[in-house]
Amino acid sequence: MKSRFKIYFFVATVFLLASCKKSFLTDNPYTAVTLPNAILSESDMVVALNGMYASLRNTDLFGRTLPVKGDVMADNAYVTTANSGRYLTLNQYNFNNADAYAAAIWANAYVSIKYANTIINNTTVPASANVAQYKGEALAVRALMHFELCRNFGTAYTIDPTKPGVPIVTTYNQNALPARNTIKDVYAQVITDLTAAYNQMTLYRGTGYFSKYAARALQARVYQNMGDWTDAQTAALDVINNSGWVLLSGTAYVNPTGSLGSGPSSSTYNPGGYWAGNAQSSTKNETLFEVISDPVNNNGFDQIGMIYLQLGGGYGDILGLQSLYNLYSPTDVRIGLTPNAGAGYRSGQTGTNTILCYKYSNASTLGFNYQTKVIRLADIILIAAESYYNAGDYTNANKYLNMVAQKRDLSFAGWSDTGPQVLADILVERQKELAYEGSRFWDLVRLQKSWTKITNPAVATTISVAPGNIGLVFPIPVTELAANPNMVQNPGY
Amino acid sequence: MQQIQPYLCQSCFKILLTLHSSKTKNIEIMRKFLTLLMCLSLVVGQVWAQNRTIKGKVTDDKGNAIPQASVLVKGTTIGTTTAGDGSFSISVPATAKSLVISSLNFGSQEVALAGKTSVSVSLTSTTTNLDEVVVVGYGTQKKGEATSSLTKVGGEKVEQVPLTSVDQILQGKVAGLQSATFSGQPGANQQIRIRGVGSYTLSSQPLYVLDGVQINSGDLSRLTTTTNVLAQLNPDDIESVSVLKDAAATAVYGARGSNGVIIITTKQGKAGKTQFKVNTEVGNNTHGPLPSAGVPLGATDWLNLFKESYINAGNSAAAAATAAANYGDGTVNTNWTNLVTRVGTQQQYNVSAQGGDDKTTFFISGGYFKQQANVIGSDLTRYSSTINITHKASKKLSFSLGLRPTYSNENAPLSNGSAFSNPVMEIYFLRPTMAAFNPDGSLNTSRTAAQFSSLYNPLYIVAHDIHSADIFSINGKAEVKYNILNNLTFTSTAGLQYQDLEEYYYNNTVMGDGYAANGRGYSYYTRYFLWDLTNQLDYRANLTKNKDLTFNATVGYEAIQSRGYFISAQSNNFPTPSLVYSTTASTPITASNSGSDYNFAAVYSRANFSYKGKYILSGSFRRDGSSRFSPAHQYGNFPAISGAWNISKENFFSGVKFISDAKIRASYGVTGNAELGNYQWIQTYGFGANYNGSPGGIFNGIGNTNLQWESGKQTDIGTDLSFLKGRLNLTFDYYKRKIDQLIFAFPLSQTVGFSTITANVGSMQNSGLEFTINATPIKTRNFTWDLGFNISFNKNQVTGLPPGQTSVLNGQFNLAVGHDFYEFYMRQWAGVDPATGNPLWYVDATKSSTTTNYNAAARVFTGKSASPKEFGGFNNTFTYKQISLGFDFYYNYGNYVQDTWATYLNDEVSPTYGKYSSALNRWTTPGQITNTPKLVYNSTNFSTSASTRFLFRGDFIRLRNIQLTYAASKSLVKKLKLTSLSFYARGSNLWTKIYDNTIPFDPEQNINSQSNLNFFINKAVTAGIVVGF
Repeated sequence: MKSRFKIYFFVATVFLLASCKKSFLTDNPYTAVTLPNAILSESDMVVALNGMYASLRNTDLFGRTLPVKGDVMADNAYVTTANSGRYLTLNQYNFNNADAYAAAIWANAYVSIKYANTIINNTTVPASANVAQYKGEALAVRALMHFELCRNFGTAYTIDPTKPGVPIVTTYNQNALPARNTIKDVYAQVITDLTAAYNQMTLYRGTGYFSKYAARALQARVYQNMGDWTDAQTAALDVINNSGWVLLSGTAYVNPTGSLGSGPSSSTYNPGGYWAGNAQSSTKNETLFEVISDPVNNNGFDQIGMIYLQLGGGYGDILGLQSLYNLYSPTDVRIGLTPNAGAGYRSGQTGTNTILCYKYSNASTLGFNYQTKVIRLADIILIAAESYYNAGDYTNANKYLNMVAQKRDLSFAGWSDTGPQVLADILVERQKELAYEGSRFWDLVRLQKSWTKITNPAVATTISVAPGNIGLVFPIPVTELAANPNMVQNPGY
Repeated sequence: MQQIQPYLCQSCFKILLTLHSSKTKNIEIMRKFLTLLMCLSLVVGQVWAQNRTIKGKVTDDKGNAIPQASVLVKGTTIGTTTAGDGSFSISVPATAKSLVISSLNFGSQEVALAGKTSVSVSLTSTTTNLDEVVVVGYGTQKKGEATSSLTKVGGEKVEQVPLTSVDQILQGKVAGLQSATFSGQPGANQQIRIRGVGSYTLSSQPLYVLDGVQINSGDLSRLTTTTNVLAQLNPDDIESVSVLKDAAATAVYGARGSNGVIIITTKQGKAGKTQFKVNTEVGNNTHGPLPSAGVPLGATDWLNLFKESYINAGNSAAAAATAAANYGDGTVNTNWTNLVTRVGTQQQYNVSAQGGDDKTTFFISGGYFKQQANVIGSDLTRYSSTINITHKASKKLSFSLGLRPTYSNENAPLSNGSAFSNPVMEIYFLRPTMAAFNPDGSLNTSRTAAQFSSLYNPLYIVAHDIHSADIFSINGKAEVKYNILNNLTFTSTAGLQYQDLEEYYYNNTVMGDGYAANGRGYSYYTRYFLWDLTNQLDYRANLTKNKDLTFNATVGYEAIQSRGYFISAQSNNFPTPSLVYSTTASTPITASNSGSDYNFAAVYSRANFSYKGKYILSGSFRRDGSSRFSPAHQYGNFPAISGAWNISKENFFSGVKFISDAKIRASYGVTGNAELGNYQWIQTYGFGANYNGSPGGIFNGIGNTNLQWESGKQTDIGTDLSFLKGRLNLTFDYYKRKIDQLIFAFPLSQTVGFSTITANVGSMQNSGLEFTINATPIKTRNFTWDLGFNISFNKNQVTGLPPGQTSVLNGQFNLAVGHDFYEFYMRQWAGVDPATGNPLWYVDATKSSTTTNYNAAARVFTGKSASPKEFGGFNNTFTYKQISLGFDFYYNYGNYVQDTWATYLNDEVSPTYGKYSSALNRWTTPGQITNTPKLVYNSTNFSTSASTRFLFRGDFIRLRNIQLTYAASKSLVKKLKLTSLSFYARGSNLWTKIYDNTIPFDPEQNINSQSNLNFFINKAVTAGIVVGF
């Protein structure tokens, strides 16, 4: 009797001692918030915006690959002989459907779109002017990413806008298996988003964030790519006249000090002027929108400056072409951004001049926290010039052309041609102004130009690029095709 | 007490009682008193007449005393136990004919008593006897009663090898257990698979239970290339390792038992005179020779091939000469292999003391272990200690306490992959024309094109970078056992595991990853604290009076919590190379901390019916819950059932003399794999995506509100046979392991903004055979030959994929129904076109046509797998008098290994890197048949991209361990006043046979057989002394 009681007592004790509260099995993460509680106030929305902008800084978006592609795949730059293995497929026009750069751009662009949609579709924060501003910024970023996706993975609008573009994503749906929307539809969505953004943004928070006129400037670029010159002109002039942004003149823009030395290790070169700055600007000079890297939050060795920087642990894999360098007149201050270091300056690169890029670094600082300029006023002014050209108004075309040209070369008499030569002048001025900013490739593509891609001036091989070359359009990543039965690949892959 | 006495006593007492009764008259008193006297004298007389004292000593077959051995008079309950020195003294009745002497793990022996007053008995160890006790989940079991598939590896096997951790030692010792040593880094993690690959995305490692605690295992470091929690445990302190393989054994571990369970028990001490043991061992480590196909080119060859490829690219010979001259002229010919590898030393010193009496036993040890790898800059130093004490406070109450503090320091350069500061990577990638030293003898740090423009001088890196991890760990256990009744015991256990890793990583300012930043320093602090509480009741009963049907039951409750805490700091820009701590640096880059926890709570139970030891039925059940599971599936049920039939105990079997034991067993059970991320099911919004100095937040955790454990259902049928009284033992198992609800990061359309979602959608199965033989073919007075052989066959097959998917790309593998998880899915190499020297691939699986366009060749299922078809071990020990010689072989056949870095090291796709010697076989003249295409500078024909060209046969046999021991003679030992003295020499990995002569590296790579420029496997030769006193 006693022993049985003992048994019951002990069994009871065991289970009493043993039972834990149900909350014992509930653990909350230390560094994350559950999604429904993520954006509840305006300051939460600012935090969400910061996260969205940070995603644009990804090395394979504006962090490095998008700007680099625009120059390396055009006639501005090439990958040197001794290299770290980066961007070889772009340099050689040699893609297969698993190309890492194409896949990274595709995936990361849609991640940024997801972050933008989280903000745009938020319903928990009550409306206010600030919220309208923030949602406007998100709309602009969503537009920017759809635009970049569409022109990277689809053919140029100017060839045929009914061809497949990319899927438009405006809400989060984890089961979505979308088909490709037509290029026309994607651009329509982009314009809608930018218009809405323009209408609801009222604040200017600095060049690292979208603002009313940055959205309008982007819209001008979109119209330019569409070949819609009337709208391009309206948008560009709106920015030029009303935004309050100004160009810098002469040495305020570039003012080099130091020397390149006999080799990278003895370089003390600093481009000076506007381009030496590596912090976000609140003044309205030159740049309407840029993606910020700060000393703590940056891509480290994968920062854009490092792919151009010859000394100090930079990869220095990408150099400019002699043909680009030859465009500048000796009095053009912009030549200070792309100096010629002479032959043999870069190890392993034999027999050619070494044309460097100093837009993203200088000799005294590591290229970790230089910004990627996404939209600059100079670009918009040149769009205005091109729109006037397409309207047959050569006078105004030259006027706007010289607005840029004469600020950069103070002793330049000015462009004054007429007829088709004006377009050639505009393209040359664009090439000189926007070198190494990822713009040149798109100018060539949208105008359906043919050119010779020099893979390496030291070696004889070149590639003739003409419209229809499959390398002009990235392959849809094979992983997307495998996961999404509604997706259709681009021809040739 | 003798049987006859109680009766007499009762009568005597009755008489005494009546004497006291007041009703008795005097005469009657006298009569009764006399009767009492007679009774007493009878009793005493009986005692004097019937008992005699037998003294004796019980030893084992080596002459060592066996304390606590049971000495019983046969046919009675009269008995005693031996003292610490093995001696006993027992009073036996005259009718006693013999004594039965037995001890745990030694079986029993009968000794005739006729005419003797002293006996000495020698018992032999029953390592293969079915009475042997094995540790199972939450208890112990006699091998004869076992219904599950498990293997025990005893402590003496674990003391015999100069390896850092016990999981390395298990290779080849357990059928069905594949243990891959992929790195020679001391203290490296070891990959173990029991009965095949268990999961796509979760860990396939087994659960480790150390002294009852389900520990956090594996590599817990965050900066160091590889560390291993088990490397903190001195193998010398291990009593036994039980490997639980089938569901009957592992279902009691519920949601964590699917991949098998390895139970490690440390030495608890043996009662008896305190025994000391001192062990000293020193030796050398080198690496085996590189297979000839993998030897890098020398300078002259490298330059010649460079020039040849340059000319083949369409340039003139003069241009080729100029280009090659940039790199060197052949006067500098550096053998990087020799510079980067070295002869490392190794030493260990272990001291232990164990002893006690029938109330208290203890085991205390201390150990020092230091091993230098065969690659510069890499070593492990370990100080470890174990204290285990058990005390019996009373007949009912006993408690034990165990504490194991360990400190170790591991220096480990980035030791895998293409990190530029991986010294092994540098052996292959650096050009032989680069000089390691300047003419004045200092290290070359030049960054010109000919020198280290993009790669690093590994000698400088090792000398000036710091990669070190200090690991401090404590494992502890406190246990209280209370015998409520004779057959009901309550045990309460509290165990803990504390692991503290302090990792420091410094890149110097002159050369290497720190150059651009003027020095980079990282300090990471990682702390894991885990506690494991169990409360358990064990019950034993005889269900029938004649004890034919016995019943054992266990029921318990367990709660586990693990808390991880992490601090990370990085800063750049150091003012001087002599100060390397981050406080001196000027630019802080990272300063962050975070944590990660998980909890488990479970109720478990086990029951076992045994009829006459012939028919045994067992069952277990565990209900497991975890914080890792989504609330929709918070708890899971994990039952198992198994049975065994000891045929040898049947009457019809008694005639079969040569089979001494035969058992058939079968089991079926459900287990799980719960190694999900701690917060994986939660849809989260994360922070840290900062922008312009301000905090940023992003929706980056896709989560899954239906997420649960992966489930494994395993069937096992096996037999254990013992022939010729244990001279030959066979164990055979057939198993089928079905794994469902496989968590699978199944690909989404990336337009969603996530690439994958984790969901329980797949299924897979492993089935196979395991066969183990242990035998003693020769046993004479002076010479014994023991051998052990095991072989395992496993077939893995994917059986279910997420809906809508016919295949899922997994790097070089492709998961598809009907195919092996690790079947290579690649383009098929078709050799080199003899006419042009161009590379060729087969267009498709039919192999009917070839193409020179890599993109036009399809990836196909090659039928070649990274998992071996058969593997196992073959162990022999020869003992002649005092000398014993043991060999352990490990063999592995049927898998293929991929060279993942082939892209850079073959042909001239990357002309500025070093090359394998196989490049000398390149095509040069039309009509030449060779497997290496024409070398073309900077070629873009993808000739070195992934294809079956770089799949090599992974077959090998390795002499894992060879040991020669000389035990000093008994007289010498006595003279020196010791209890034992032996000298030994050991070698590990001394000989390997590789079957594919084109493979450029050792075929033992990761479990997925993809090379990763890991440190070379260690060849060690050591010698040592063991002294016992």
